[in-house]
Amino acid sequence: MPRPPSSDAVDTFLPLSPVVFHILASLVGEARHGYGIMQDVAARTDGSVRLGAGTLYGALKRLLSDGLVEEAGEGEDPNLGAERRRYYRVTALGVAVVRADARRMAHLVRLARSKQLLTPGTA
Amino acid sequence: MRKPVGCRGDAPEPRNPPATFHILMVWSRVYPFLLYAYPPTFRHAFAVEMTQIECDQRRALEDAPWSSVLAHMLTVLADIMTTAGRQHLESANEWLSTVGANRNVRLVGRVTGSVLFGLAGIQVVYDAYVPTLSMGIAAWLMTLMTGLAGAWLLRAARPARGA
Repeated sequence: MPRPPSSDAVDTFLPLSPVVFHILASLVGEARHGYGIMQDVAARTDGSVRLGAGTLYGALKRLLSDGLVEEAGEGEDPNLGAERRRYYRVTALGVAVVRADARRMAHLVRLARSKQLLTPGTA
Repeated sequence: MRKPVGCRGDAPEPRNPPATFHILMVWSRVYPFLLYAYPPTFRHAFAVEMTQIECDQRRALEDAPWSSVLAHMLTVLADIMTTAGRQHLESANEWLSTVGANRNVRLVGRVTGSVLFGLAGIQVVYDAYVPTLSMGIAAWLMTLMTGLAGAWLLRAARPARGA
């Protein structure tokens, strides 16, 4: 059974940029190709985050070299025709990193709530 | 539905194509050349996938008004220019570290960009202040190019939001 990544290894990647967080979150639980990641991020954020292809692959290049994401082979997407596409999936380290960043943000939200920064009318 | 030129399974051009079709057709010809803005290693790794994505996006825009297509083109252009600059800076950093030099290329890019942008600004102020000594259209073109190069370097050298 593979050992979980150490917290030191995880901490070196924190805090994640919003783009990297969205990419990793999109890949958790499902391998996707580039356009799939872009569509998923746009859908999950109601269109407020739209990744450009250059931004996406710039981040993916870094994530691949850091070992947070790995290639998951090539395949066709039935929704997009017969063209073969390269799929990406998140590694165990990537999951640990995005989970740690989510916990960090949840902590910030709790702090903001305790200071009543998130109550209605306090824009 | 028609498929834009450049994608697999292209359909023949319709008899009375709308403006959107023509713009997409031109854009599909231009896009592969824009990818040459990236360093060769990046292009080798991702150009095919980026072209596939652009093709998918063009397909989704086929029934959109021409203004939406134009907005898409400008967004993609800005994205490529910014990320290509960053990739070049990263490549330069990697190259420098392989030869044992640990210079901060981002800082060098920022300083060079500031200098170029500053020089363009000085030229504009000078020409506006002493118009009789202006060297005309060539000087203004040079100023514009210097200013754009400075702005491009400054933008590329900003801390990346994406990675």
